[in-house]
Amino acid sequence: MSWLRRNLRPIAWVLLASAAVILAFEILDAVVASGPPSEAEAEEAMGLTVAGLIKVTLFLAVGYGITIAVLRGVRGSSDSS
Amino acid sequence: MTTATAPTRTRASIATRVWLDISLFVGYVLLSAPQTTGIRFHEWFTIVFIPIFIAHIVLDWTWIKTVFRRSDRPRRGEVRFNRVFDIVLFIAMVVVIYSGFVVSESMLPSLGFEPAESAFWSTVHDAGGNLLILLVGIHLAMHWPWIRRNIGRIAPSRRAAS
Repeated sequence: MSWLRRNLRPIAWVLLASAAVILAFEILDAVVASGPPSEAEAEEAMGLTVAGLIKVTLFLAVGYGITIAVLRGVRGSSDSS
Repeated sequence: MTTATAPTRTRASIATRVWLDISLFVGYVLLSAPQTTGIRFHEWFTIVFIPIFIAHIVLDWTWIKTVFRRSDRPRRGEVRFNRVFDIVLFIAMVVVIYSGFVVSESMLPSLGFEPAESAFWSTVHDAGGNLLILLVGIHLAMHWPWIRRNIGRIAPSRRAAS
């Protein structure tokens, strides 16, 4: 409880920011005014068990790999200048 | 959380942050693979994930304040990138979590709520979820020096204790 009391301010900021993001997207939804999802979309969620983990690993690795490559490139160019 | 100047912390608080971050990462991977874990776990585990996610931000609040504070000195490119990127990551995470609740197929119906059948939120949840995995990969890479350094710092104390 004391941890919560000590960190009340940042927690409040996080919740407030989350509410703002949600509100913005609710407004966007109201503007777009969408209907129910198609059957194809619903079926898309049912994938293979292993494929789910492969996708996560692949996406994480791609994001990580790109960033490391960019960081090395940026550091390399700033070292040589 | 990164190489930006941050006040000195105690070993215990670093260990707490590292273990929290590991839990957050494992929890995130599990959440990102509903095909593997099942839709029921995917939705209910979010309830556990949200406090860990909030705690991750709160425990790094000092770093966040340091990065976002106005400064006369020009910031390093990495710090400027993290400033924008972490906002984008936060927005993506909130949107994906919220849209997941909106299009819930298991949790909300079991609590007696009628789930909204919305193509908008369904698309946002699917596309946002995929984008988020990529963003988390970038986030990990951006903070990799911190992660490697501090996992190394907590590892010897664990060996000594055993």
